[in-house]
Amino acid sequence: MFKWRFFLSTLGVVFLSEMGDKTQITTLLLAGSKPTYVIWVALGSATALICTSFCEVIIGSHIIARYFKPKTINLVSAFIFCVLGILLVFGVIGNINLY
Amino acid sequence: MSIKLLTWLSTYIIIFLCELGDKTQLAVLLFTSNNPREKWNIFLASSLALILCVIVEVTLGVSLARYIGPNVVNRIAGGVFLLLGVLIFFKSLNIKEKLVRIINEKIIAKARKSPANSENIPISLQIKANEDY
Repeated sequence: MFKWRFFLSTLGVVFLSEMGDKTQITTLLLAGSKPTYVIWVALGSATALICTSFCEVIIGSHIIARYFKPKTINLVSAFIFCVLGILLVFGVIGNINLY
Repeated sequence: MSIKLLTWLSTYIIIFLCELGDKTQLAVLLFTSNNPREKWNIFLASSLALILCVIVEVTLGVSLARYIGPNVVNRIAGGVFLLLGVLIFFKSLNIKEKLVRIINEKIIAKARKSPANSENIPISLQIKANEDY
């Protein structure tokens, strides 16, 4: 059975956290600098992002989930999400001024 | 090597290096370590989200960034991360299960005190309370 809950929550969070990120700025600048080869920039960016997410999935499920208890992971991830949220809201990280 | 492949390769390397140690990576890492059985589902979702992001960046990005700006989007993402952190924290404390258990115990204790009023108590709990006698 396909679990839509995990799918949609991951989709939303990754999409939102990728927005306004340094990766996005880089792709934007690369696409702007090579307007004739925009498709190849998009392809390169997409393949790189898929490869990195593959690495993350393998590391997360095979290394972190094996050596730590689920409760510890839950607490640590809650803490990290809160810290990242506070830092993002107050503009400590992720502030890139283009202009 | 043609210039198309060169563009592809240079973008690939730059984005791969950019993405290492990023907050997106952290989020996916935490998701998969939370639910290791759903790793292919999460992989699918995250790659789809990233591809959607690339499409947005390449097509709309340049004109949209002038009006919204990365700062506002960062604030929204920060709010979502905070909400997620609080939700995961409360989920890890199992508050719901504990509350249900406490309420059940109270109902059973009430039934024990006054068996005459047992019409108001659900049948399943009535049986449980009677078995305890």
